[in-house]
Amino acid sequence: MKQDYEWYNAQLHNHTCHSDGRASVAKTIDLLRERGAQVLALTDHNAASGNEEFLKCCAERGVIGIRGNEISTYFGHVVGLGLEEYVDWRYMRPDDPESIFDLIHERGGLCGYAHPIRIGYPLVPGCSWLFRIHDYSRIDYYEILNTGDYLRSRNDMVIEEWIGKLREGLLHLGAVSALDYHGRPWHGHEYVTWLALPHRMENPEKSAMEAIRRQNMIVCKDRLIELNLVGSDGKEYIPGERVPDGPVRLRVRAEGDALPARPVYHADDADSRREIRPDVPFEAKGFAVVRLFDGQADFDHLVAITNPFHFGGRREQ
Amino acid sequence: MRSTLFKTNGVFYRDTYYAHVSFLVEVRAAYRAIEISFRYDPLFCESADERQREEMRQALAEQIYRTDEPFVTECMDRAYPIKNGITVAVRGPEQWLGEHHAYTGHEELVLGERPSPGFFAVPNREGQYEFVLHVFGIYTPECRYSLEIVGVNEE
Repeated sequence: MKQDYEWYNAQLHNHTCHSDGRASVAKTIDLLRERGAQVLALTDHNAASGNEEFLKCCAERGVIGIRGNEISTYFGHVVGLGLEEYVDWRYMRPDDPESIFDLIHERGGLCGYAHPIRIGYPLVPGCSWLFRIHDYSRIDYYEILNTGDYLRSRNDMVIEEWIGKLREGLLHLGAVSALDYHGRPWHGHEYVTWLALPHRMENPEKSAMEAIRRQNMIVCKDRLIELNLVGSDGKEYIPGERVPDGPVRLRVRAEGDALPARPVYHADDADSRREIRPDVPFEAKGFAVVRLFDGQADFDHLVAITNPFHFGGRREQ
Repeated sequence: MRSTLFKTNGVFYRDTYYAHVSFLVEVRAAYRAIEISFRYDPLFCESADERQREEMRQALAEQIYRTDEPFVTECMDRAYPIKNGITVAVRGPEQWLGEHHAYTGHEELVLGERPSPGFFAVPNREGQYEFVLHVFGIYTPECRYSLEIVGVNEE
């Protein structure tokens, strides 16, 4: 997938009146569209009842809709993109979250690790992740920037955990942002997941889910900033793609004043994290996750973060 | 015509959390609508005692690794009033019908071909229904609930 794609603004974790969201399905879509969303997932807590109306409303508004729901148990939440049924979650055990992951996959869905480090009981029952994961290969993506309860979350630690898992060889793990939208006013800490989708899509919902699975994503603080890599073959690669071994260069594209005034770029690979500069060659081992900061290279100044570029052999699935 | 299919009430006590109770009800007609009236009271716990605050402090430290002030105290102060959380899910004779995951204290839900949000639009059948109360957390000394199920058909 070279230039045969375009970037779509996606919000992959949203609630309506079918669970504890404040707004109807139609109103929720309209509110998110006002914010620029072009791809939306419906992820009501333990409810798939809104999916039919949601897909219809999305189609009427020219938005790509992804059906789903968020299996919200006492021991943590799992987003099931593509999941169309109600799941009886009562007997799920803290030592067996894999049963949830397998169920979602059996239905052709994608498993999202929702708000991995967030406050739970007694402040917010069920929201803290208490499951003991034995097999991370059965998760498809992390919500590295779930900003629904951002003050009581540790997205800074989640990002590092996700990169740590990549370093362990779990290279299939994608990373998305999540508004965890319930219809509340915006607080200014929100991010956008930008998906690279083909120009022609026979089944846009399926294409969007495939882009997530393939990690063709970059998470940005609102406006799109492309952080691509130019390989030793001179071709430009987007996140999720396999790049030929050898030195690479960062290629940055942003419209208007989307780029921060004092951009600082970092790359994480299998061994380390270091500062890089656009168009200055560097080498990466195993994978590369590129981050853009505004001035200071810390979580509070994070502007954009890519999904991994892959080097050196087959990508873990 | 309205027929009461099931009616119960009970009480959950403070510190009940991550529990559920379900009621199996035989429904002996295919009602156009099945109405569920579920209430619990009080909805809010207005303030914390020292033990609850200490549990919150511990949760902030263990779950999100925050022990710094004034963050911890502000977090605890802002948590109140805190809601008692109970949600309703329903399994029908042939499939799960859904759940309304929201802590409202008062739910008037409808099952059938024009259901309430959270529930699939399917005709009601005769057979065994299971009405599940998911108890996410009770913060008040007592929380009394009532559940009434009514079948509705045209005269």
